[in-house]
Amino acid sequence: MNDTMWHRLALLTALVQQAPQQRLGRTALMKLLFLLTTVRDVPVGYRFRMYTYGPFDSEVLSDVDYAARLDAVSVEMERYPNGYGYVIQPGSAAQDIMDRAQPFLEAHQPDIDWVTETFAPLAAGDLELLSTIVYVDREHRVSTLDEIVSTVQEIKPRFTSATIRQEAKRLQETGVVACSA
Amino acid sequence: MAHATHERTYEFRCPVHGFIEVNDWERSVIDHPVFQRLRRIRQLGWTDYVYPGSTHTRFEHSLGVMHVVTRMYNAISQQSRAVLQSQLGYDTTGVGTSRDRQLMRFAALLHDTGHAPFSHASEELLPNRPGTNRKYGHEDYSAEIIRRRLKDVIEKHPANENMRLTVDEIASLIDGTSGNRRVLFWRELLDGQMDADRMDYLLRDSLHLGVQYGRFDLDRIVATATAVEMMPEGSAGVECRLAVAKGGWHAAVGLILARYFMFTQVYFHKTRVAYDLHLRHALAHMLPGGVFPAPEDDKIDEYLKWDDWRVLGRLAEGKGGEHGQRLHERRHFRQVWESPESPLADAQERLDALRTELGDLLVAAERSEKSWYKTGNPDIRVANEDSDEVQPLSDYSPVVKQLKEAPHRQVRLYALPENADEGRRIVQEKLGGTS
Repeated sequence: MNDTMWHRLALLTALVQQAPQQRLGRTALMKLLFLLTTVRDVPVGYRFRMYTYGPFDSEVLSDVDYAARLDAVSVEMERYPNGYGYVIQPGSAAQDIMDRAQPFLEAHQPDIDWVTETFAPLAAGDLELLSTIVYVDREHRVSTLDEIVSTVQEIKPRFTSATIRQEAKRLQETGVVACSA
Repeated sequence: MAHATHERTYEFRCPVHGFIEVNDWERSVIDHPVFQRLRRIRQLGWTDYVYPGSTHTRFEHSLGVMHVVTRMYNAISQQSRAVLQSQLGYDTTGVGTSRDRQLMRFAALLHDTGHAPFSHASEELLPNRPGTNRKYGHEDYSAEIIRRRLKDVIEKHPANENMRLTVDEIASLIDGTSGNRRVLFWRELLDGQMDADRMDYLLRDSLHLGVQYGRFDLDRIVATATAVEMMPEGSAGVECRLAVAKGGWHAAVGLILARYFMFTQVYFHKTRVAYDLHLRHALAHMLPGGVFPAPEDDKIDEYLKWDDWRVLGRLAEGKGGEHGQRLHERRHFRQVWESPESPLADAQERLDALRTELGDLLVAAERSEKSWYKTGNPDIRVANEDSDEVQPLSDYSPVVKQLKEAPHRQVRLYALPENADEGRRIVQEKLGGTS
């Protein structure tokens, strides 16, 4: 009963645990969860919508805060000129929380391995671009690579169309982006 | 001077905001049956069994959201002109601004057209998206209804000759599929930490229910809402974000506290939660297959037939099953235990133990994070004009910091009315006075 909450907390804890150096930025965690739920259909009930900062669901932030309250993760704020961010690391109760959802984690271990090996090493800015490409491919009414490139560039003008195309093609080759042309 | 018909304006008297002005174009949309249906969808489902004044509908809320969005839009457009021009490419003529304002007004007006009967109480009965584990949301229905049923009334109105708004622009703003970065920026006014939807329903629900919990200083928030340039986490360049100026941070705290109080005192009220549960089961009993029709062209009209009147009619005919009968007779499940608002691991262990002890007496366990009206993450951005710094609200306010660090995750356990005393006795025996 009500397992979804534990699945979510265990999943985000496992992602942090398996990330390089066992640390993830909050934006990176958001995008990894987006990729897991959208590309791998991992059923944790998040509802991502597009914002200027890419696919986002505020429920992820709330879950991170609650995971921190249970010591499954620790969250530290980082300040830099003109902005701020958060670094998430495993907490003292990480294993306890993951144990609560062991069958779920085991069932989705290949998905967790896939997303942490392929995407977790990337910078948050790159993940924002890749997740935006995936969102446009899956949710927008586009059917060609050109349409994906032009839509993503309108949303994220700081990336050149050449960069967007290159990343979209790479995602297409690995089957993450579904558009055929 | 004579005005063209579409330049005429009309007023609705709103109990929260006073007169709400609409133009002829908007009025023709309001007159459409799709929008009039919202008169038959209550804002807070079955809440009037707890707060008798709660009989207001999505119709007046939608007008209110349009009004608040417009105030926010106008304030930000004036106060942050330079940022909007440099980051979002607005020119100095104001043409793009007025077109986008109209786009936002329509999106705000129509954002709830896809609601199922009794609003969020029935949201769990929306079907999954084909081939996925992800459910549709009412926004997906709103978007499809706009695309498929409001095209003529919006796109062919004489006022649209110059603006050339499309229903797809409005719909994609609502369902989050817009590829326009201006639209994505303004979208936060409809679905964000400081959005017009929330600000209207907190004030409106408070007024109708006769409580003070949801009141906050809307005027101050509007006056200090701003667009800022900031460096997002992991980004190489600055981007445009919605924030509140430093002078408005106390008003922003007021908004966060209003959300917290309304959630604990109204939206997650123990009896209201029980009635939501009964309504959900009664609806599942009367719906073919237990779910609403999907938001697809051939099923939209069938979906739109579902409103509160239809459900009440079926309940009166005894078609709501056991839970419909409970609604009719006011024999709702009774709470036998509630956890702390933000339980630590030991409270979770007590919950596990109680479930075992209660056994068959336990008929429902409802968690606050599953509620539509979540308290959510409270970190509104605060822009310090003196230092050009942007900081989260929790940096300014210890109260907000505490709320952020202890998210609401309450669990309520329920028994049948006839078993409630026995359930409470078992709880008392097991836990004593501990929650």
